[in-house]
Amino acid sequence: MNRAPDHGWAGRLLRVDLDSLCCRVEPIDPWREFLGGRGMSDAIVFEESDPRVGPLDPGSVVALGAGPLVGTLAPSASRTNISAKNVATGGIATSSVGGHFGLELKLAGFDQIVVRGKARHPVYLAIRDGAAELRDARALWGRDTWDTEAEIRRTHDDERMRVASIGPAGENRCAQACVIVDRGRAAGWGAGAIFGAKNLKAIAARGTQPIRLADPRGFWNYTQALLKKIENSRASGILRRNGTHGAYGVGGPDGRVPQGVRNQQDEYWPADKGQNLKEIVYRERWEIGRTACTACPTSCTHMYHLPGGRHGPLTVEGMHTNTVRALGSNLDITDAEAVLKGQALINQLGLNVDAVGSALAWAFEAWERGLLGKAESDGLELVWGNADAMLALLPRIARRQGFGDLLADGVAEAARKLGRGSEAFAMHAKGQGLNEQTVRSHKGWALGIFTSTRGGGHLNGAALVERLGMDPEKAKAVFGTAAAARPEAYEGKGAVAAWFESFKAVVDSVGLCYYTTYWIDLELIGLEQIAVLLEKAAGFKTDPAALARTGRRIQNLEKAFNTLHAGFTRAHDMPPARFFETSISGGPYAGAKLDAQGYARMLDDYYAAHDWDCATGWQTARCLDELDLGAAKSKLAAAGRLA
Amino acid sequence: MGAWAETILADTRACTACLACELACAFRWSKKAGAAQSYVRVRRDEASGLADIRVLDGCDVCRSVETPLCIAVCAPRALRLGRRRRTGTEEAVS
Repeated sequence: MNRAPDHGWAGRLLRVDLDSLCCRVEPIDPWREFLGGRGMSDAIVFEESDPRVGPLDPGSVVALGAGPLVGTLAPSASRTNISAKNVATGGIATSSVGGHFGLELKLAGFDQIVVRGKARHPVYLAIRDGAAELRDARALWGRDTWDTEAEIRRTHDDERMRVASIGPAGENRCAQACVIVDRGRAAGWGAGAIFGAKNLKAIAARGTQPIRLADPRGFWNYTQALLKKIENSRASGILRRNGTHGAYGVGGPDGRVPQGVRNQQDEYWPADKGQNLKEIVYRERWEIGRTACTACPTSCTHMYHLPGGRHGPLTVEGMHTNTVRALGSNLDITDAEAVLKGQALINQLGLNVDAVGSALAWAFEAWERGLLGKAESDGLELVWGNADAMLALLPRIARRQGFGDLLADGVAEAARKLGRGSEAFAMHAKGQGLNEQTVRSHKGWALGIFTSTRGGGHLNGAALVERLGMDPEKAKAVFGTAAAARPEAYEGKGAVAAWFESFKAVVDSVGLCYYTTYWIDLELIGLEQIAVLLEKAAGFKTDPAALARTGRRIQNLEKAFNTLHAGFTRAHDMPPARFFETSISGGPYAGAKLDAQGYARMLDDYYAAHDWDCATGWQTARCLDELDLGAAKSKLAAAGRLA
Repeated sequence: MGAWAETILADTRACTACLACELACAFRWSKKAGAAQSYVRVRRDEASGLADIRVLDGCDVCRSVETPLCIAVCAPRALRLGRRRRTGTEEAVS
């Protein structure tokens, strides 16, 4: 190739064919219009996936990559994205993971890895300074992610090697198994199961090749200014001090944040229960320090050490708000040590906390309703609050043993198999297990969860800033409506969800973390700041409007993938009935629930904001023309699914 | 008594192992982002959960600028300027 070297980007894509055990290096240029990370991975998965090929078939493709800002010292630029066909939904799966894997991938000279095929026996991919090799992983098969990571580092005699691996859950193709990075960071939504089906145990990366910067001095000065901004942000400060657990999770702040309780039958957990799992309890008893992803000033993760007791000695990174909810309030469990042990097990086994949490909560409710008995539950008593049953089930799910096998395929499939009316309380969105909070109280948050292209989840269109508070004037300037600032309002939320979906697509594609952006504070990193970072780091001249359009293109590729591969329509963007039927029983949001007409109005507004069809939820030809997505338009038209 | 030399002192308990110092040090020497060129080395000991920070010989505490770059990017304030005697005893400047 005869062109100037890259800045920001490493410039290279690694193709791995597991059928032939061959690796090939290509330039990233055909995909660069999608920036990197999620955008680039999505574009590749969209173009190279056949709707007739299932995610666990050898012909499926999985793409992972780190965006152009990763490794540049831009604050929080650490993220690696994995995209593939979703094992639970049949649509798209995307997941962004932190840690330091993305940094080493970039320093090793690659932006993106694309894996296809199935190896004859377990292998792992080792990447170092531009070279890649597939190595025998038979001795690693069956081992947990912590052991795998340590063993690969030992094998290569390199403690700085970063490893993304699967545990028994991925090997046994649990529907939403994760790929685990740096012992405690999860890339989820079935990527682990796809690795397992391909006999790919891990990807290890290590590099020493520096990333060139287009304007080194300008970049340095700008990142210093951004660091100050983050340091001065109240929302960042709360996150830094308390982690996501203390800032948004069970018990905090002041126990006032609604949380899923007993399979999300309620979102109020009284203080006498919540106080047992408050972040301060863990901090005072077991915290030994904080840890951060690459170049992140927020360090939202705590390190805990249990010296003894029933579950010690145990040193574990954790916990985030979803873990405390999934293994705590949503199962009515108040045993702090058991929740910490559960967090460790989930990471070691390579399970997905939301998926496994929703499946366990469904099973506990089925027990409460008398639909399950000891004969079916391996003798375990699935009564609310039984921490021992939770801990006993986690390895059984990952290894598909006994009752665990039923839960391993996820809550939607488990309910379908058990029947007996249990489908009514299987809490999922598009087939993906739900483990949520503030669904009934914060309307825009709810909309973002159920319109998420990856199934259910609050990390795309659900605006955290709706919960943390924003200046109405600023909200109006950004989203076009001051109502965005009011949690209980339905109006204006469609535009907000659509805005954040496209924004997050950009954030994930350049490699930043959502927690340093507008998502938590409209004074932090927005499109304007991302445009400056891209220009100074990568020499990529752009502006907020062009970036927003790129975000919409990525969002629309995912939407088209879902329509083509999974046949989703408006009906799939609806929440489970429970959120309309039962209200929050206490606390500051007592009485709150979703209103069917209000939700329908939000959905109409959301489709209108995207220029999609309100009746079907499908994309319009006009929208895809405007975004120059001709291939997606042709495929949708051929399938008869274009509005 | 031996001569005093300026050095970077580290508080391993405050360190979050975000590696910003490594990237900043490499940037100072190469004007590129990276880690291999860094005079600061950070790793987390998985068993203890604590960070291990080493400042390698050759660090010139960024003599040409007011604040060494590794300190400027250290959000948890785990690094500070100090001085060291040849005997190996370390002492903070202030």
